[in-house]
Amino acid sequence: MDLIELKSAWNLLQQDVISNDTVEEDKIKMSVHSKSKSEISKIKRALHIKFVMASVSIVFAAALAFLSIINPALNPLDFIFSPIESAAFLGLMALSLAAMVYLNLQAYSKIEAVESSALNLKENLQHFIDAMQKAIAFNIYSDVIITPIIFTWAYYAYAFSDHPLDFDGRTALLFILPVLFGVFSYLLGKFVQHLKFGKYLDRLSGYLESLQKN
Amino acid sequence: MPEKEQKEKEFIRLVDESQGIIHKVCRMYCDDEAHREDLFQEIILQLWKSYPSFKGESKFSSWMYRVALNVAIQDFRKEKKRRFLFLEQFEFKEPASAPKTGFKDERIEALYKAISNLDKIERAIMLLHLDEVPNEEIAEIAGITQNYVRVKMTRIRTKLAKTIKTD
Repeated sequence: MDLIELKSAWNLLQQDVISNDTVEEDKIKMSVHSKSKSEISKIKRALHIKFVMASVSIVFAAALAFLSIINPALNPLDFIFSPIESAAFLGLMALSLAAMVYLNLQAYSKIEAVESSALNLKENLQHFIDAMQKAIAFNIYSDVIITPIIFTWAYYAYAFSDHPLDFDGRTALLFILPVLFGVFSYLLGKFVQHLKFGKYLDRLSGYLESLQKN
Repeated sequence: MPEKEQKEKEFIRLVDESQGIIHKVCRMYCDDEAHREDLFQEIILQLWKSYPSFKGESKFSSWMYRVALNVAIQDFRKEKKRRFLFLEQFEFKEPASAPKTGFKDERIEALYKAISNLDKIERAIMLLHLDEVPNEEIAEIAGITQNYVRVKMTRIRTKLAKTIKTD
């Protein structure tokens, strides 16, 4: 089958399309109001949920930190931390969550920009891959930020409940643990994201490469 | 009538007039009816989201090809879950085979067979070529030079020739 034969088959297919696939305006209208099932839309929805959760948590953590300082009786973590420790922990959590929200917004706005654009195939692939990478980076780094804080403070509460801070092994661990947890979270996050999106991104990068070989 | 409603009406009318483009893209990239319907819906949705970006600088059909092909290229069906402890890894399947619907005309079957060995970018260029879109417009839609469109078409021809030989 050469190109001319392909063209005649294509014309036949067009007739088939006209007689079998044509839909009414109502179906187009329904599609306009439907929910997207694309990978990027699912990521966008997840980012949106995380944004709302993180924003609420920031307000909550900051309010509790403030309350712990002005009224020690309201310390919500008094079973493990003193009011000052609670305020430091909650304040650090609020700051970390704010960093998460910043990364989240960056990824979200990239996706929004890709969704509302009508770029050519090459540029769209570039932007799409970039937006996906931003969302993946958000997923990895949000864990890298939060996990060490939670585990290190849990260790601090356990190890220093009846010991003062001193220059010993326990204190050294207090500095080593965040790094270890951070590295572990990064590697685990990278592995999980690779399992989820690695092959998808590899495919798209391959297509982009084939368009760049000008 | 509120402006948004009016825009939506105008958009639906324009899409309705050129819906053949979307169906052809769906036929080119999907190997079953369910997938075709999903892709059709996804393309309409994406066209609507990017409709504000259509300023009439290019032809409506050219804009439609661009958006529809972008959606089709990014669309993969997740398949063959592999497990790593509690984590799942997905394979992303290319629409490799001819549709299972079975066409009465063997020329259409042969067309699908020929297309099945092309990757998604090659399919896009092939579709535009078969639709008699001028090289200049193909280059604009794909974001490559006209010369590279010709190079791509030569490669596609060679690939098609090989497919036909092996059959």
